[in-house]
Amino acid sequence: MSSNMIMLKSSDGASFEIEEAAARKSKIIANMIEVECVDEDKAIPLQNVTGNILALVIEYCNKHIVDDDDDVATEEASEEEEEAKKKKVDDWEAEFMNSMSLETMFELLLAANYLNIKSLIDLVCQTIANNIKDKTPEEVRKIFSIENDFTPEEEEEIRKENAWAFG
Amino acid sequence: MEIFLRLPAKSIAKCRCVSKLWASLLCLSYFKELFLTRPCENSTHIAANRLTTFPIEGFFDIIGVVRGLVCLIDKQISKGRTKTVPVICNPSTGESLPLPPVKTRRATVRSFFGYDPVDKQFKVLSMTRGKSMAFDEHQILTLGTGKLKWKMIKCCIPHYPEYGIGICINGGLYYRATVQEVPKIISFHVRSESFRIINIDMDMGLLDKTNVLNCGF
Repeated sequence: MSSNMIMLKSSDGASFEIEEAAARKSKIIANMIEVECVDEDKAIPLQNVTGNILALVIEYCNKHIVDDDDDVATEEASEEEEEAKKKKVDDWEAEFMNSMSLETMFELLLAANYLNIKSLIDLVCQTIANNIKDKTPEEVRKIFSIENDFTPEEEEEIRKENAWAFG
Repeated sequence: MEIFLRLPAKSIAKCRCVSKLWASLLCLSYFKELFLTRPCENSTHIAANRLTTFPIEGFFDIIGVVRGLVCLIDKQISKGRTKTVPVICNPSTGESLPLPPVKTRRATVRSFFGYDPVDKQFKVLSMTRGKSMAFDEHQILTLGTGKLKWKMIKCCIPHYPEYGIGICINGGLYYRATVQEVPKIISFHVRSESFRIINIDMDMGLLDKTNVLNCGF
């Protein structure tokens, strides 16, 4: 494992130190490292990510870099061990997502998108999707503070068209 | 978009009722395309689970299953004349749409259901058998073109399509047939509406394909 440390700076000026291996989870930062535009003494400024969100991103990256390394080291691990490990990661992810509000999730999603961390995008999208999966249109409107702009007639019409989903 | 693509079809339908913006977004053909082709292990099961009853009485054949839609053939006999009516069913919504009957007086009709991924069109191919026992009339009905009309097409390969369902892969519709008494596979290119013969015994690669077809029988 590389022990190089990289400095990241959030839009509100907070600095974070992160292992290069963890930072490479972000394709954008990995590319920056490849083309050697990362100066060891200088922090990488991330204009679109605030400090509290960046802290979450780093927590996620740190957690997953350890897991990835484990995978390589124990390639011959038994299936049960693999499963146990996967469950541990899943549990951690569930706990991680559970701890935040929907608003934070969206900010985290934007950050993951900006930094191009595919697995984090997947995780957040899936969590939000699970959140609205079994909700009625009224509940979804409430969650996302969406105004119902249908007239009663229009709403009846579109409800009729999609009636099969309400059974 | 990324979030919607992770929802089951039922939730998408509910989300369409949330607001005008959501409704228009989730009805875009671009979205539907993404939704149908998303790499989701569960999507086919969802449709299968909800397979309830099709609203047709009497005898019918399933002639093809393409991209979540099922095409059935309903044989209706009235006044001594047989009408062949294809019906498109969506098992996940329970909706069904009867198409105009095949334009023929002939009673023996073989139909297949295909999809053209380039123009994103579903087509039903029907062949009818005349007195000479040859299937010499070929017609096509394209879905989603406003007025549903059968269109005659030419086929330069005299062949006798076997009874059974065809399969559609990448815009090619494959079904079993005999050409001069020899079993072959006919490949019908859905977009250009042209026929081609595939010899069964040419090499191993083709053998695989016959297996796939046979599984469907």
